[in-house]
Amino acid sequence: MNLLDLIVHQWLQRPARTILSALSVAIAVAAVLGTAVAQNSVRSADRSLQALVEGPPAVDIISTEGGRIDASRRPNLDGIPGIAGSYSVTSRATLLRAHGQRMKSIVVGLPLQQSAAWETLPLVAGRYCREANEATLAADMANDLGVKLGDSLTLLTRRGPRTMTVVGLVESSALSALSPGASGALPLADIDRYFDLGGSVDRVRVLLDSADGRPRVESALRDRMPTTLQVQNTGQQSQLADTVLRSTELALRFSGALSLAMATFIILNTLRMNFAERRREIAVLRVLGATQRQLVALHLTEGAALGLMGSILGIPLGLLIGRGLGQAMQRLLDSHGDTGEISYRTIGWAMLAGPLVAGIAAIVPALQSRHVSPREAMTGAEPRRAEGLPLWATVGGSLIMVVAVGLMLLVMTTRLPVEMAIPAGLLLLLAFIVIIPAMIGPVARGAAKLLCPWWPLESDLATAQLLERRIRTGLTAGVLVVAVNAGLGMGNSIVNNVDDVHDWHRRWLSNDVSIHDPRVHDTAATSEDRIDFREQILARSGVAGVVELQFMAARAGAMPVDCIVRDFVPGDELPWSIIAGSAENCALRLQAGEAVIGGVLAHKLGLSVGDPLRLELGGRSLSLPVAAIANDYFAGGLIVYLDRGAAAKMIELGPPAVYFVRASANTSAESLLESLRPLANRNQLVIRSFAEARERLDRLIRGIVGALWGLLAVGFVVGCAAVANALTMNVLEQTGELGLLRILGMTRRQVRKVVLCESLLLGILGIVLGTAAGVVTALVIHFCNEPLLGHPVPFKFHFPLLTANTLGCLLVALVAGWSPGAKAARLDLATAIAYE
Amino acid sequence: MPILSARKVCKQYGAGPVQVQALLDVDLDVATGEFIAIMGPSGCGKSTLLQVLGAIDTPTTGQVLLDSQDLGGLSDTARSLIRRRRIGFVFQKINLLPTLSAAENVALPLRIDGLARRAALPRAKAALEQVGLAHRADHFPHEMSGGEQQRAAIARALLIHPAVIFADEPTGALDSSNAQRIIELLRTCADGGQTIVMVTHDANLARRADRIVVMSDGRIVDGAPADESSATFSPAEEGR
Repeated sequence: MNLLDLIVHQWLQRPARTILSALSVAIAVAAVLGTAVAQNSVRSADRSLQALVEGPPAVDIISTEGGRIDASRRPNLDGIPGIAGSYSVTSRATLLRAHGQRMKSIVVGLPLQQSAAWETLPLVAGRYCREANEATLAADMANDLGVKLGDSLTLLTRRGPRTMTVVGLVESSALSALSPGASGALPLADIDRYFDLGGSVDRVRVLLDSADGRPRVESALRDRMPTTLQVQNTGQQSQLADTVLRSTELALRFSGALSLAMATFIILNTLRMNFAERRREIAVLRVLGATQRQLVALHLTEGAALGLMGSILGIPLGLLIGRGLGQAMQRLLDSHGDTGEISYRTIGWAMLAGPLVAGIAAIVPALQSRHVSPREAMTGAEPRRAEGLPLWATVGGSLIMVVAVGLMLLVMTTRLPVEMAIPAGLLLLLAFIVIIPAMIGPVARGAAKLLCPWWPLESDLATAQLLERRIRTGLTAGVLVVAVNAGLGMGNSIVNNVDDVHDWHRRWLSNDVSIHDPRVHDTAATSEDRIDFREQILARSGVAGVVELQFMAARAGAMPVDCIVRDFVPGDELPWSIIAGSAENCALRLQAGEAVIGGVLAHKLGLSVGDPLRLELGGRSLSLPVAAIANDYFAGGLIVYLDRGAAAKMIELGPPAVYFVRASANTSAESLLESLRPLANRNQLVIRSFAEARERLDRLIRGIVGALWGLLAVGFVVGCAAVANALTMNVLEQTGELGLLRILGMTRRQVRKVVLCESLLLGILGIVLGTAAGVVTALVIHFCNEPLLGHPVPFKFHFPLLTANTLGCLLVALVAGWSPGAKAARLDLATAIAYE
Repeated sequence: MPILSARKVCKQYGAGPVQVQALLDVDLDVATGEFIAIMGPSGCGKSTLLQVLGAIDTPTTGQVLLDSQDLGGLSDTARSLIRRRRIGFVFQKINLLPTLSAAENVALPLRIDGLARRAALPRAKAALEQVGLAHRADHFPHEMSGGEQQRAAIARALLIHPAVIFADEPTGALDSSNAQRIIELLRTCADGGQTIVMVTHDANLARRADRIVVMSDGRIVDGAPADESSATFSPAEEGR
């Protein structure tokens, strides 16, 4: 028996069914692609947020003795995976002069031939340096000095004044991320020559492919480096890359896995429905001598063939969805974001996904076909069989759930790596969907009671049909459950993470203007006497308050940490939220000489509130009680905060590095900036407004949230297709019964309502069960966050997400029920009652 | 005054070379309380005639009058209302919804008409009692025999006190003893004043009707009283 001929013959006999089946696979493939696009968009927006807060992912190689690195001692980085590039960096303090004005500054040397090094500095105008004696300047420094492209700039160097031409202006924040306080970048060879460095460099910056790969790269570097060199996190780089973004990344990977799961459910459901309708034909084949093995092969081949057809149809559909999503993202990000590019690799995977997933899904009907008896062909039309509650599935699902919960607990208690949360989460969801048929009864009946006041008979008939096809209903509702679970569970987690970063950033940038000394990070910089500078700021119009800050290197336990010494005023909002301890008396305790430490540091040192913190700072060894533990992303949470007044009594403090200035109620940030600019210029300090940073952060967060909605929308589009598919099959299967109802006097409108009721009930099942799964997922991700981040992200349940998911499900139900309902209403009665 | 009349009814299916003339100039009057059996070989148009008379289908030309009301000019919704309130149906195969119990199936016409489940079910159970199926009220179709399913369908038809009950091969899937029981039930209904139009192949069963209408090639060729009819169509003969 030629199986392929038979398949093609059956397809041609039922073209509508064949198209519907292939479309199911196509929708699944399109979903995989669409999700990939949404993931790219979220990832891109997240990366931008990371870059805004901490610069691109990188590590530095520095000398353990604190000196420079000879060119000959530079480690060989060839063949280490996860490295995007590397370049040498040297910074030097100097005096810049232009148009008769002078400003103390730090310049950074970058190798001319390393374009990757220069490209980390986004251009505002002009170009990067291409040859000797060219310079790029921070845009705001150029603005302060009145320097334009092509102007000459004089640097005071060890070899005397050197003149350079300004060829480009770059973003100030990017220069600061490269080297704190830097305001200009020059060719490395020029710096080497001007300052007699003899080819040695301060550090080697290693750019990473992604923040996720940091631990692996660090470990590989340590293996190759001599003991005179060590790896260090870059500048102010926080562990945002390793923590919050890793958490988001995990959520995105989970959503990718979910889209595949949705695809499998849709295809499995379609193939099962095909099988049920074809049961009699299969029995005839058995009578004609087809073996069980041949029937299994028939179904598997059909599954793979439908998968291939679906892939061919689904890829253009997915690309269309991707383009639409990309454009939506572009609008949300004000054209600054990734538009959701799809790589050929992704398309390749999607092409494979169709036949693979369909082949796997075909296993179920293939196995079912083995149990079709030849006797079924000999009897008349079989009465429809109700799908009983599969006890094996309920028991098996419950067992899988126990295993999944066990895995989750091991992840939460850090006995398993946090990456195991993905398979455990998938397993949990799979188990949940497997036991859905056991939960459908009470939920569907309860939901039918909601519809009963308006559509009593229609809701009864719809409930009866859905319960008769428990597995089909379970799988269809399962697709909606996955969509709601992704939208609610992961959405809630992403929004919580983003809110947490946003809140921290808002607290940090709660002032309006910063004034900082660009030389403060350079040990060669001389102290400047600015004892009354604070008073000078306060004396300017529009100033409501000033906070002085100083950044210091320290060691806590055996760990290098950053220490921020700043003013804390009781009653003012703290620059971070408190994880442990009291926010009310925190400032007072700091003023009394206690310390606030970051959550990650507390986690690593095992410290709680009240414990003594051993701190080496400013050449002194201190033991300070921990006043509170802060949810702080600065320096990756490896941070200690001290009050300036209290610290001055313990160590010798130099002048403040940064002044945060808050505008009074009736003063705008812009006018405050203009009011303070002459004062800053006179003291050769850099002045910046926080408005732009705040606006950029807000835009990026809008982008992340927008992309999240996109992800949610893809889930619902797929869910809509799954529901429409199942309803179309139901209508086809119920043709005779719907015909009977029409003959008994049901109007077309009433028949349409019956199908719409089925659709709405499926939607309600999706909402109820999906919300339950979504809440569990949100909590699981929340509890997994602590081992992942080192501190808990405050959990908040976002009701707008629940509302959006509920409305999404109902909309899906209405849209999906429309066409099958219309089809049912148009049934020709004479044909319908003759339908078998 | 006949309760049901067909006047020059024609029904065509398809168009051009594949056109099929299912009914041709059919004239028929059915009196109130009359029990008629329509017989004829397969494809002669008897089921089409039943569908046209029962407002399931519309004639291509001609008139169908139920209580003097022309069914052909009515909208789909109006015809639905006529079927719901004035006509009962019994079919050979699809008679009961598999997802509903016998009582719920019988209650369907009332519920379609807007009566609450609570009010409809007692009346459905009373109708089931009429056909001797009170004990099967809560059973599902797959738990009932073919004969019981047909009796439940008759109970459903009787529930609304219809003007006419149309039965299309009601005994086609039953053994002879069950078939006999169904025919007796229909006969009892007719004796009680119920108008019945039945399509059947079985001449022996048809003889329990008041009149036998014989069809051939879409036309009525004979319409004699049952005891005078010479109609002898049976499933065995139709294959010839």
